[in-house]
Formats: sequence, structure tokens, C-alpha cells
Amino acid sequence: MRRRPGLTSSRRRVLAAGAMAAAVALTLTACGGGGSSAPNAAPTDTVLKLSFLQDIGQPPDPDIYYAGQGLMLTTNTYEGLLQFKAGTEKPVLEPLLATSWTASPDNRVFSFELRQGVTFHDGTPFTAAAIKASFDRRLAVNQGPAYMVADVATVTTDGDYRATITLAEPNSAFLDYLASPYGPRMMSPTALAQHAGSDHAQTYLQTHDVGTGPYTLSDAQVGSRYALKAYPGYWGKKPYFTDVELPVLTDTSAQQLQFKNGQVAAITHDLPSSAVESYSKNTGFTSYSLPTMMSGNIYVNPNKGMFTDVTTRRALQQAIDVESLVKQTYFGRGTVAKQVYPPNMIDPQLALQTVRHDPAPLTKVAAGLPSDQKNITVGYDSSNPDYQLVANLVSTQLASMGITAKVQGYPSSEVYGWVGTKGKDAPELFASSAWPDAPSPYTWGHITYDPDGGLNYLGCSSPETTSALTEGKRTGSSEAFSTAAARALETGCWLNFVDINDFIVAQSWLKGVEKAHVVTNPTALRLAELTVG
Amino acid sequence: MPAFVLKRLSAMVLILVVLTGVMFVLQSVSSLDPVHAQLGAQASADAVAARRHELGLDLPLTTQFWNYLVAVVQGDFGTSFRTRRPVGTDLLSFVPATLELALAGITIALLLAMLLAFSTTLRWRGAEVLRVVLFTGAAAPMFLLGIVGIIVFYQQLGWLPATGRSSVADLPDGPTGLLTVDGLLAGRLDVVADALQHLVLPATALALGPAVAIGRVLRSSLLTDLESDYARTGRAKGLSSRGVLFKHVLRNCVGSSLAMTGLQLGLMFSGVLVVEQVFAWPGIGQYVAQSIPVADFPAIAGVTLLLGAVYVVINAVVDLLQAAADPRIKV
Repeated sequence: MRRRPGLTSSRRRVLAAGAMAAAVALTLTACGGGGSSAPNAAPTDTVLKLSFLQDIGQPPDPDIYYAGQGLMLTTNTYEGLLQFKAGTEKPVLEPLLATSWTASPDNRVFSFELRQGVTFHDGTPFTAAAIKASFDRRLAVNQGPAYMVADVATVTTDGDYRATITLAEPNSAFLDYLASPYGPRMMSPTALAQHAGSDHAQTYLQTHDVGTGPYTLSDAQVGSRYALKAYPGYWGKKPYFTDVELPVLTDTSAQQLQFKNGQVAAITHDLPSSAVESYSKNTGFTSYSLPTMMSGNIYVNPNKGMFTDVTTRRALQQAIDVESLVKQTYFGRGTVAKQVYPPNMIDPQLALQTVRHDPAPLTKVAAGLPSDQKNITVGYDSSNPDYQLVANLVSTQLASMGITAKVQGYPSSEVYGWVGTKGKDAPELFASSAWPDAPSPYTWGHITYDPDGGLNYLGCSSPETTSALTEGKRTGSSEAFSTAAARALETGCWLNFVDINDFIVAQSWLKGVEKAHVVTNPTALRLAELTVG
Repeated sequence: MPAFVLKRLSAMVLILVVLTGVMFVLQSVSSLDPVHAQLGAQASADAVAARRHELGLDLPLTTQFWNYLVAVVQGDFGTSFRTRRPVGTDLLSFVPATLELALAGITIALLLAMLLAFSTTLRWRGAEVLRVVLFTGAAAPMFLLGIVGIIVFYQQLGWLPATGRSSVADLPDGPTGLLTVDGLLAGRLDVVADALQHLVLPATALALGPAVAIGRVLRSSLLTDLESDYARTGRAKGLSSRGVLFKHVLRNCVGSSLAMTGLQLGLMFSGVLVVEQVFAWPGIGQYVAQSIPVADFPAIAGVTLLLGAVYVVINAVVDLLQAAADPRIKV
């Protein structure tokens, strides 16, 4: 038999290159935005289809869940005593399971009138007894959000619908904790006891809920799919959508393809900034840029190289061209930060970030340094592609001042590992974003600026900042928080460079998005507010 | 045969212990911190220390390693830091999806490989086109194939779904976890059809590379054997070329193709990690990909051990199949 000649390797390479070029062209065609698309039709079955980008990462148990996108589940299935109003720019407390409340002048004793006619999803009536049971369970589980009730000394009840909470120490942020999306939620004492097992019902709450919210968790398959069903016994307004499906997608391109094809009603989070501009211009969809308390920060390591010197750190704050960073990275979803704290947290006249852009001081410092001390690393949060761009832009800016910067991404588990190590394994600069658990300046200031703060990645602090924060915690004084911010800024360790909005893109038939959005609850919506129009 | 099984089992145990050791060393030199990743930003130093103690992370590495091995022998792979479930339970829920994808992938790979080998050997019309398509596909990275597949068959043509295992909400709770099998067992043809539809794109993306590798080995063996004395004798006795190929040559060529199939199946499990990401396929690839950034060591270790065991078992099975196909091979 004669051997048949095969393709020559050069022909094979040409064909393969052609196929790849075609694929890339198709990809670009598919992902390029702009223009307009024909609007997709609204569903007729009252089923709302959304999606998660990657799994939510932790069980939708409000005493464990301490991340971002899973708030869509926990805030729609559980309710706390208070909440923050939806659709506002500033956080405004409003009643939820408590209809009214009072706080003692020393911020230690808090009294509540409770809502009547509320039932948990297992049918148990909501009464004052649920408060202590829920607090106790949170402390017993002892996960990240447990600190919010750690100072509770006593919970006393007066009948079924009155309760008084007394703290061991004054805390002006306590009401904010109760309304926070990560705050203590009311859980059915009956269900907690029935499903306690050996882990305070943690196993049960991986796939069920015991809350009072408008929706109940109907499916929870880790890595695959979550679903909610409207609770027929809900005390408040009945939701339009009877079912909400949330499949887990693993790639933003796949998510956007499904959205464009009409399979997904909205993308509520983690749209890359590069896609923002195209959606903003696309008349086939509706896009929303809604206020949050999220900010982007550049952290400076005071324990390494040239930045051990406070003057150099301050020179760095001045050297970074913030306007340019925000313009090139955030398009319509971010604005240059004006305050030291995250946006919408404190009076706009207070805690001002008065840093004027001037590269000259850092250029002068760099010129006086030996060449081996001019090499630094600019780190960024690898879970967010925006920060890779920020880090690259910062390194380019620094290059023009004579500093050579290497850019490197770090996963969150590594970043958290720097806490308490005085930044020895951390880079000289680090860029990432965050939002406070609750809209109190104390909450943000403590975790960021205090020596034992969980977001104080690079181990920077000053006694004056801590002292002012402690004063603010006790009294709630805005002036104290403003002083704390000024002292923190003086350390040169932090630069809040951008206030970030939630960018949501939705099918044009989906109504109520703005009314469903809460400034303190990034990435989530109050699903009961959504409808079809 | 018992000696063969015993030898392979011993090798497997040794390989898995070494794998576990390597993972522990990597864990110890890694700067990833699972405790902070779990407890979040507000965690106090006391809470972090307590959790570190609770997880045994404050023990010497050798003690941690020994404790882990003892637990694994007892069937306890630890608890995932991320999902808060036993890793064994997680694996049981994620493995069927991966298995179904890998089985579909290897089935498609074998079909394409045979088509490639036979068509080029027997000079079928269109063989060159098939070769070009398969070689181009095999040359492209798996993720690119996946993306192109999604754009063409989901977005442009709308023929196939882009992500996930199923669009059916009320899936049958079957014994295998394989939607195609459980659907059949429950008499739910809608589930089977839907599952097959979801399998086409990811399984094909997974299959193209192995198809070419297996097809080339088979084709080369066929061509060599068709030139051999026994084939020539067969043809001289009046057998057609196809008769010689299918009745005599094929059996002799199966061995080498089986070896390559085993190798490719093993490699396919690593390819699955990429394909599952592109197609949001809820299998162990996605499970481990989401565990790595949060330093979920029990989950990473569980998947690594499982894949190690699968690789060894596949190779042992291939050896047995080769021996069954070719009596000259002894195990």
C-alpha cells in the first residue's frame, strides 16, 4: 500500500493560524459592545433569571456569609431588626422587623418595638424571643460577622413585641450593625433548635433558610445553581417574581453572552470596566450606575525600602495622578475620591482628602537614591482585572519619576495573610477595593487604620488615629472621625483614589432596579422590588 | 493477575503518599492564608489564632501530614474551608459531572480517532478535510476551542447551550449522578436529551486533541501492519483490503491505540479543569479552581489525591485491556 502524503507542517501551521485568527475575530465581534441590540422579550412565567459569576464561596448562612455576591441570597431570605432605605445615595436607617427604636445618649441601651404578624419560613411567629436566639447563634458559630454582637451584654423582653438590648461598652455604630447586610438576621428559634445538629444548624443552613424575608431558598447546589421562591406568608409587599434562578457561571464572557441572548435578566456585579462603556451606549439594554460605599485604595507599605520614610510616603501620595487613573480605568462607574473615607459615609465637608497632584517631590527623592533602592513592587488584588490596570498605570507613572516598578497580582487569601506581619511579605504598594460592613466611619476606620484592623494589610497605624477613632466609637462624633481621617492621611500609608458605583445592566423590560438597590448592599438587589414593564 | 493488582495497588499507595507529601510542602512554603480567607476582614487576632488551632495549622508540618494520612485512610478528607462541607461529600457531588464529561469526551475522541485512522487508511472521500479539521482543532488551545464553539453554536446559530449541565429545573435524583444515566433510569427522556445537548460542546472541545493523538497512533499502526507479510498474504488469498483491515490488522493494532487512549484519558482529566471553567461545568475542575485562590487546602488535596488515583487506575486498566487484546502481552 502506498503511504498517502500528509499535510506539510507549513500548511498545517497556516490552517491552524487561520482558524485561530477566525476565532479571535469571532470573539471580538461577539464581545465588542456599542451600538444597539434588539430588546429581548420579558418572561411570561414570573421567573426571574439572574446569575452568579463563580460560586458565592460560602454557605448562604448570614452568620457565616461575609463576602459579596451571595448577599443576593442572604438579604432576600433573611431580615434584621433594621435596614437601610433602598434607592438613596446616603445610608438612611428604616424599620424592618422593628417598627421603631430608641438609643440611649451614651450609645449603650437600645429599645425596639417589634413588628407583629410576621412569620418565619417554617411558620413560627416572629417574637422578641428570636432576638436573643439569633444573637446567641451568631456568637456560637463565631465566624467573621460575629463581632457585631460580641458586645451585647443582655437582651431583655417585655412581652412578645418589645425588646431592649444593652451593650457592655458604648458603640455608636450598633444600630448600623443591626441594619448592615452582614448584621444579625432574625432566625426561627424553632428551626434552629430542630436542625441544630452538632454545628448550630450550619449544615442545614447550607441548603435551607430560616428567615422571614420575601423569598425562601429553594435550591442551593454549590458551584452549579441557587434558586429562590417567593414566600407566600410574607408580611410585606408580595414580590412579582415567584421564582428567581441563579445559575453559577464561571466566566464574564459567558455571562454577557447569556445576557445578550436574553437568558439572563440582568448582570448585577463584576462587569469589567472595559464592558461598562459599551453597555452604557447600547440602547437595547438599560444600564445603571448606582451609588455604593465602595472605594479603591492604594496602600503604602511603611515597613519596606524607601517608603519607611514618612516624607517619601507623602511624596508618593502627591505623585500619583489620580484623575488619570480613574479616567483610564473606571469610565462611567467611578469618580475621583474627595474624602479619606469611602463615599456616602460622612458629611461631604468632613474628612477631606487634600492631596494635590505634584510629581516633583517624589522625583527629587528618587534622584537621591542609589539605583538598587529604586525598584519596588506594585501589587494588586488579582480577583479584579481593574486593579491590574491600576497597578500598571501606577508603575508607568512612577517610571517617569525614576522609579522602576514591577506589577504583581495577589489572591485575597495571600493578602489577608499579610495582616499582623508588618507587611514583611507584602509589596511596597498595593491596590484594591473594599466596602465597609456597615456605614459607620468607626467600622471603616477601625478595620483600616487601627493596628489590629482586618484591612490594615501593610501594618500602618498611628496612636492619634486610633485615639480619635475610639472617641468616635463612644460618642458618634463626626468631628472625631474627621480628625482620625486627617491623622491617617498624614501617615502617607493610604490613598483613597476612587469612589466606585455598582454598575448594573438589565434587559429593558426589567423595572424597579433603582428602587431595589441599597447603597450599603453592593452587588445585591431587593428582588421583591423588581417587576416587568 | 493477583500479583499485577497487588503491584499496582502498592504503587498507587506510594504515589498518593508522595503526592500528599508534596502538597504539604507546597502548603507550608505558600504565603496563602486559609484562616484569614475564611474569617474575613474583621477577624480579630484571637479569632484567627483560635481557628488556626482548631484546624491544626499550628502543629508541626510532619504532625499535620501524619494526621492527614491517618484521617484519609479512615475515609476522612477533611472539611472544605470554602463550602464548609466534608471534602468527601463535595467530591461525591462534583465527580459525576466530571466523569460524565470525561466519558463523553473519550467516546467522541475514540469515534473521531477511528474515523480519522480508517478514512485516511482506506482513502475515503473527505479524509483530507477531516484531517485538516481535526489537526487544526488539536492545534488550538482548549479554551479557544470552547470559546469558538460557544460563539458559533450558541450565540450565532443557537443550536447548543453554552454553560452548565442542564436547563431542566426538576432533575431526577438518580443513583449515579450522571444526568444521562439517571434520566434514562427515571424514564425522563427530556433530561437525557437536554443533558446530551449540554455535553456536546464541552466534550468535543475536550476530545479533539486526544482524537488526533489516538487517531495518529492507530493510523500509523494500521499502515505499518497493512504492509506486513500476513496482510499481503491475506490479500493474495483474495481478501479485500477492508477485509484484511477489519478482520486481521485491526486486532494487532489495538494495543498501541489502547495505551495512547489510557494516556489521553488521564490527561483529559487535567484538560477538564480548563473546559469546566469555560463552560461553567460544575465538576471537580471548577471545584478546585475556586478552592485555590482561597487556599482551601483540604479541597485541593482531595481533588489531587482523587486525580492521582484515577490516573494510576486508568493505566492499570489499560495494561489489562492490552493484555486481553494481545495475548503476547503478559501482566
